[in-house]
Amino acid sequence: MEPGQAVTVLEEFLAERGQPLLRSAVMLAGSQEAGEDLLQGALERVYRHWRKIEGNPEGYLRRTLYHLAADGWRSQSRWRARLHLLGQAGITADATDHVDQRDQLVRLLRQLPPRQRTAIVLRYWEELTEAEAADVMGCSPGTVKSAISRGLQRLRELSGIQHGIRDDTPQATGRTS
Amino acid sequence: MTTELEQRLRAGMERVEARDPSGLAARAYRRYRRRRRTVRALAVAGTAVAVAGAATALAEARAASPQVQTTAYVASRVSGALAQVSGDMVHTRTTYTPAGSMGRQWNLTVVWSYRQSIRSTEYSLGGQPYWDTGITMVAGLLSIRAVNVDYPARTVMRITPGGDQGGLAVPAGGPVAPPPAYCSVYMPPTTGGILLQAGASPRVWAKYFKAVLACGQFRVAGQQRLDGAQTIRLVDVPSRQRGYRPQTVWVDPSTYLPVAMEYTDYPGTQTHTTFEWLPPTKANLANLNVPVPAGFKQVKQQQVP
Repeated sequence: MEPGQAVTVLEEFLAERGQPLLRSAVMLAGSQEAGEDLLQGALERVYRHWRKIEGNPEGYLRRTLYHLAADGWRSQSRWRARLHLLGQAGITADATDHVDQRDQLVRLLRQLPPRQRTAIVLRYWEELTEAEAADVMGCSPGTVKSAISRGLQRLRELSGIQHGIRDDTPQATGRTS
Repeated sequence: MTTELEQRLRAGMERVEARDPSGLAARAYRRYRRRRRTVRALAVAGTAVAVAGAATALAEARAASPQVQTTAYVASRVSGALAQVSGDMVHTRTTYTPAGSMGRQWNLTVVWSYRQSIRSTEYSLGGQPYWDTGITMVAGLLSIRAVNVDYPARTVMRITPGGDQGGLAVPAGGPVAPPPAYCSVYMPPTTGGILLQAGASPRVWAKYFKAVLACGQFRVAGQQRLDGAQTIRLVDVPSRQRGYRPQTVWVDPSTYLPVAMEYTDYPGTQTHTTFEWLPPTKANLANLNVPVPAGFKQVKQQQVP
């Protein structure tokens, strides 16, 4: 199939199941606009490699999206450097400023390095195990575990939430690797 | 085990909203086609240059092609010129297009940098000051003096060496400096993050340009009038290692100092920076000071909204 025909296939996929993927992209990129750009970047790669993709392209698209995010797509390190320096000054004030702590945590994701942010989204949004997340990110489960741990620690510091432990652990539900 | 933080994170993620992604695949396809056309055009142009070079080589066995000579000459002159100004001030103005891209609330960054001090001012899309930040590294990044004026919040935050903010101010990864392998990077040490800017003094800019020119990242693409002045235009050479990130540097043909630089942030936002290399006169140095408007509230770092 030619890349041109892929448009129809991918449009159909996005219409049916694209919204959760775009939500992932929004979380990874930090805003609706940046999320759409990230997803478009992943779609472009799918077009580029369309002839080599066998079977359902959804898996390839999803994997590409996370790869781009983990690789520091758009090189946001400079921006993060300022955020580190200035505490939370970089969080954009918007119409959702009044929202509660839960949303604030998602916004704080933007302050994490790309790999930590990606690992956390895979783990807590996609509900993947560490092994599955490692497979998507193309690294070892240990790297994912470490990225999640550091990311959560950073979020804890930024949000001021203490280490309140609950008993509904992922081990109990068999979600860790 | 699940902590309160993880619970809140999951709940927050559930609340994230996203627009209908319909049409994204078609938009991405149009962009993919545009990029492919550009890359092909460059490949054709590159082939033409290579053929011309080969013909010249055949005719003059030991002579390099005129293109290579020109680029090498310009690169050499630029490196020499930058070495002369590495102790000066650099003043950059960076604009981003399209406005508001990448979630930025500002569209212009003005930076003054001299030795260990740097001041960066962001201007909002409406042209008003957004942030105004000054940093002086007292003993590297482990000890800094900084002031940040947040105009939307009408607050000012100060960091003093040895103060209680000092530890928080230093990023875990340590100072961010341009990586040594310039040939493999596609982004210049520029704009956006104050720590990188602190690492982007005239000396570091000089090092950056010298390295990327030496490793053949740019080639001369003729002359061009820019803001009314004649310039030499250097364009990025597509590389398998770096991929293709359109990047252009304009050089003053009389001083051989870079006067502007532009690069395309994937996937489609552009950053344009102009340079002024200035002597550290009293008047120029005064631009490093961050004025604090009357009535702004002093806050601690953690209180900044």
